[in-house]
Amino acid sequence: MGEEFNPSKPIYLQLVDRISWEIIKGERKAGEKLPSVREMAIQSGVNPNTVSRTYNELERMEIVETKRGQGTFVTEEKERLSELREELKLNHIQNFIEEMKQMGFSSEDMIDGIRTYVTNEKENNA
Amino acid sequence: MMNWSGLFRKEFRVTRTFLFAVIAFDIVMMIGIFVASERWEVPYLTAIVGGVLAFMHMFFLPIYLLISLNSEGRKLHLWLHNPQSGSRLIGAKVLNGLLALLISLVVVSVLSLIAFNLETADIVLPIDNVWLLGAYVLAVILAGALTMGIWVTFYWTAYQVLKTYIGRWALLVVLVLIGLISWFGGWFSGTRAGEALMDWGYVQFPSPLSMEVTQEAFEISTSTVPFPIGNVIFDTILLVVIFFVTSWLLDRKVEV
Amino acid sequence: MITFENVSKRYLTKRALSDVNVTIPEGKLIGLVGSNGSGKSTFMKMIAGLVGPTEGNVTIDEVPVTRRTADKVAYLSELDEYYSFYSVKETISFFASQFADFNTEKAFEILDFMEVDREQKVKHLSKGNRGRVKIALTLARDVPIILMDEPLSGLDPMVRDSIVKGLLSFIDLEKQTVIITTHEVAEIEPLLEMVIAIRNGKVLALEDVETIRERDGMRIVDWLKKQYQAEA
Repeated sequence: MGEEFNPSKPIYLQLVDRISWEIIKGERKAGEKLPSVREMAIQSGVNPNTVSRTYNELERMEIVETKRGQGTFVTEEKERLSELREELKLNHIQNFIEEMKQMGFSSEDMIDGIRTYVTNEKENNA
Repeated sequence: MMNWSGLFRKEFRVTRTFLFAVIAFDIVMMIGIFVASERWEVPYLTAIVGGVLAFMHMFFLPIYLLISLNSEGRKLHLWLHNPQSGSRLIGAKVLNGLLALLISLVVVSVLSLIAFNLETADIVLPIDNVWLLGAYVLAVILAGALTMGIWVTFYWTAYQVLKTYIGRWALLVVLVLIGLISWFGGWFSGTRAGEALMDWGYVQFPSPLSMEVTQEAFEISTSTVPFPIGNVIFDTILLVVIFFVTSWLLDRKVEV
Repeated sequence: MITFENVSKRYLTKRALSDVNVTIPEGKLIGLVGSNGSGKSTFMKMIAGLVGPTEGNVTIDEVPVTRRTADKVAYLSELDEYYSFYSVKETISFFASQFADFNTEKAFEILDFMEVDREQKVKHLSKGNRGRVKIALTLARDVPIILMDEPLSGLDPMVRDSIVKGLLSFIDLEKQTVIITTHEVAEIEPLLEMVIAIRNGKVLALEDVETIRERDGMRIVDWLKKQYQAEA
């Protein structure tokens, strides 16, 4: 039955994040039709009105477009999608930095840490 | 009309087993007596037993209704969650019960008539008109059955209402209520008001019997029997009122 | 719109509801949550017209509720009793004969969706399949209000899953309001748009689920605990 949702955040926003994530990862392509509200509700085990709200929010964010009588589609505006990609990147960096700060790491520690990690990973993969 | 026929067919299924059991009993009883009477040599035994069985059908309807109502009582939420009026919900049961009663009665009557016609004894029963007698018997059975049936439905419904509020005491209260109402009915019919309401409109009905009554005190001609129409009208009105009171209780006061 | 106005329900020794005032909006899937004996079932039966208030009024679209409101309300009882002599198919056609809004095609569609054999007698069905039949009988009505009293209780996870999916597939929130009571609120939490918290016959709150998450950062269970503590 559906996935677990974070209790402290509205479900419609979690669905917005999830769908954005799927678009960035390429699981949903530009111009692709999203499932209907009911289908999406069944797939994710969520109230249909919540899904409508998710779609409205995505539309407001200009990530999807609703075509009358046809359904909801991922936008074909490449620019908007790369913007979205940037937004998500910033978002993740922000979260990362905040948590690192709470653990008492300085900016230098973080940059060093990342650099070392990335280099090690490259070597391991080689 | 679909909702009515759906209800009607459902009612038939609720009590079908009871009807089949009664019919089986009718047949086994009648044939058993018929076979036995060959040996016992009691004249008209089968026909007489048939007559008794027929009269016992007065209790058929109240028993039928109790079985039917009790089966709904176990799932009131199902029976009462229905947009049809209480009078229809109950009416479907009463009419079904009457139909079942008639079916069983036809079985008994046919078997009795066959036995009557196969009778080898030379005693002649003092019956002029078998069909007229049958019609009277039928009328008496139906009137008795309906009266008891409607009252049973009323008391059952009253029990359901009380049960919500006083639980197991409801049965006791209903039994007291039955006693009180019966006592009141008996007392009232003896009062002047009661007599004025019930004891009027005598008409003479033709008698189906050819009995020669020779008692001197008995002046009325034996070819007719006196019958108070007023009584029938009073009882009918009373039953209709009780029926609608019951329906109202079912619609408004019975809770799940 | 369902409205409770100063509604109390008293029995000889106990109070089932006391002074309930609540207006339930249309077109939502609403959870009625509270502990055992809090008055959930009485609340539902009152909307179905199967229990009458001792005081106050229950109305649907400003018309007082009676038993015959059954033409606007589909009520799924927590009890598991149907006419045992009927097969699934016969039960469906009996319901179709009683409710003008009963959509027989939809009923069979739901049964097929949940993989219930329609030729079986209801009494021979497993508990899970009887639960599914109940759902089908309720959701097949094109009716403005659907009440489901503990539709998931006592059923295994597979059945619950198919019931939740069936629920999402066959209700139409543009035309229908659905109220569900359940012990296991966590299980259907993402389905619910609003919750009504009820305790000892008192309605403590009617709240938007997303608001609870956003404002209080809580799941319904925790929110309910908080409501209960605030009241105690």
